[in-house]
Amino acid sequence: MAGTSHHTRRSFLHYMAYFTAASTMGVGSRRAWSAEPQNCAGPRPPATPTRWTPDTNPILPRLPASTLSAADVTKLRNAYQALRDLTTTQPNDPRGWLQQGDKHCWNCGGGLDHQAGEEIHGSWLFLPWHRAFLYFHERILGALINDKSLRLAYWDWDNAANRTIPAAWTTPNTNANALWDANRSAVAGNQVPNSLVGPQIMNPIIGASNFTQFGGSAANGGNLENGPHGAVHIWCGNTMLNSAQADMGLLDTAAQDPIFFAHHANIDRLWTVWLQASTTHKNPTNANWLRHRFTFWDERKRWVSITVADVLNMSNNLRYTYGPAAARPAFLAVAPKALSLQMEADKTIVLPEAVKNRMRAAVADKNLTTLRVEGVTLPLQAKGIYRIIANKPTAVAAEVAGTPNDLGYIAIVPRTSKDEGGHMHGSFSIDLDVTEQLPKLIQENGKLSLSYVPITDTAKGAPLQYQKASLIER
Amino acid sequence: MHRWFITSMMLGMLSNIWGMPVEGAPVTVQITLPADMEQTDRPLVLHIENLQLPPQASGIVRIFADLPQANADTSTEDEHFLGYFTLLAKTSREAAQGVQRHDATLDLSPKKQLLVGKKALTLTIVPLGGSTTSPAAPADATQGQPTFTRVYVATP
Repeated sequence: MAGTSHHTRRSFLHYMAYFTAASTMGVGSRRAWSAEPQNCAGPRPPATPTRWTPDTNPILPRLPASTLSAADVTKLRNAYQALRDLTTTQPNDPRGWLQQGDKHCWNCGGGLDHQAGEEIHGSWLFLPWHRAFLYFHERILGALINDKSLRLAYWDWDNAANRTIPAAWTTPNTNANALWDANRSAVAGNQVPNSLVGPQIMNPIIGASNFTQFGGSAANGGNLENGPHGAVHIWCGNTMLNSAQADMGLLDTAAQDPIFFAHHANIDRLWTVWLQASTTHKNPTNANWLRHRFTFWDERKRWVSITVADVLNMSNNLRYTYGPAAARPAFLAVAPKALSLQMEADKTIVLPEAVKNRMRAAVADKNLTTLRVEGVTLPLQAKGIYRIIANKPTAVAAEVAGTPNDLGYIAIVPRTSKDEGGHMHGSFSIDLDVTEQLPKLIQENGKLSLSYVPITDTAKGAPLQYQKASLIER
Repeated sequence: MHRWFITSMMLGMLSNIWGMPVEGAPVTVQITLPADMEQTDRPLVLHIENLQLPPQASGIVRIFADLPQANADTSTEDEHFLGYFTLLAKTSREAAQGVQRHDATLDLSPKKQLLVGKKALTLTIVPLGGSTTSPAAPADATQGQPTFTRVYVATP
């Protein structure tokens, strides 16, 4: 099919509306052949969907796009070419490339006529719906080339080394490459900016303490969806970030670009990364979420329903994992591991050269580093907010607030208005994110003393009493 | 200097809308922070209700604290940068008119340390991109600026 325009295969009567809109917007001839849907309802499904059941395909990893072999790329391109060909030969086949794009459009607000199905963005449905969408898409691709081993690839833009849009999707930049998209702004060599997906953005997302923050609630989208997910969409459509452009930058055309699926495979992988990042990171147990049903066309053109609960166990049920195992994202490149710090008699922490070297490496890699202080005791009368200060033992709060010496704060909350002493009468532990303070700490003569100071008055700090300190690098 | 900003004072969690006929100018508002912010471990979430972006904006919105001169050129490495959120346009028509969402949110929890001790905050809302020239924009749209009905920070 080399040399044949993908876009000339599109149904122009169905998509003529975009030509008018594009002309009005003055966005140029590049858009003239685009295919923004007027209506993206897709083929009429039967009244009752078939209940989805797991298949027995082998459990295989989705690989980083940067590690695909030539054979892997060829297989993926052949599958996407078959997907595009299906749109040409059987436009109403619900498995075809344009129908796949329309399925996403239908659940994302609809096309230009605003007719739409269930909205799955901006809520806790975002992650499970896209996981299911990618699963059926993956099955369809495999069926079209009769290869049950086909798995999608993921574009791990969170890894600084792989922030460039994957070469297989950009080169060659012609219709001979079924992974290429003429409406994509990002071209070979372009990198997603650090400001959108760098460690300062990703660390808090993977560190989000609950699913509502990470993946959303019934009413709101989570930090992953509202942040890097949307940003990479917009960037692919317009790397200048000064307007929203098809295909990836608009929800009704986004899934027409094959990079959509590599991008969303990474979003899906980051869900598993978040779950693995802490034993306290859990999916919702709300029955309304778990029982929520989605409907899709499967690889055999059956209209099937699948629940959120069905997609949570991706290896057993959906037959894929994320690999290779060593390919942890850069901001979690080092498995969480506590490194005990030696202390002198006055609780000053000594930083041996080996530790300082490791801390320098952590700074260079921008790894998330936590200083864990255990066995902390405060006077019984202590209450309120205290800053934890490094290497400024007698400073008042105002002198160090916002400086690298300011490691964070703790709150001692009285149980009642009559509780003079607060409730932390025993010892406790503090986890302080010192990622940004590391460069300064390394320069403090190889030693680190900790003090605490009330944030609200001019009292001077006092040495922090504790039993043990350790660095945890992730 | 071809830059304007406005401040809408808020009582409690209420803010007013102010429009400015200046292309590309961000909007600055002053908000109060929750009184229990420092005594709770709950997330700290910025809500911008009925936010409408300028016509043809990219959908990326940056938020800065106490930096009213912030604009699209201000570095995200700046210590006043609180984060960004995105509003993806559903269609080209919506992008041309300016994306509108009922409740745009930004989790401020990772930056809570910067906010401790403050009772109020000056927020500057910086949409990337946007134009005043789109014929698809509604006639009553403010030119080049985001609009909203309410901005507040909550600890849900």
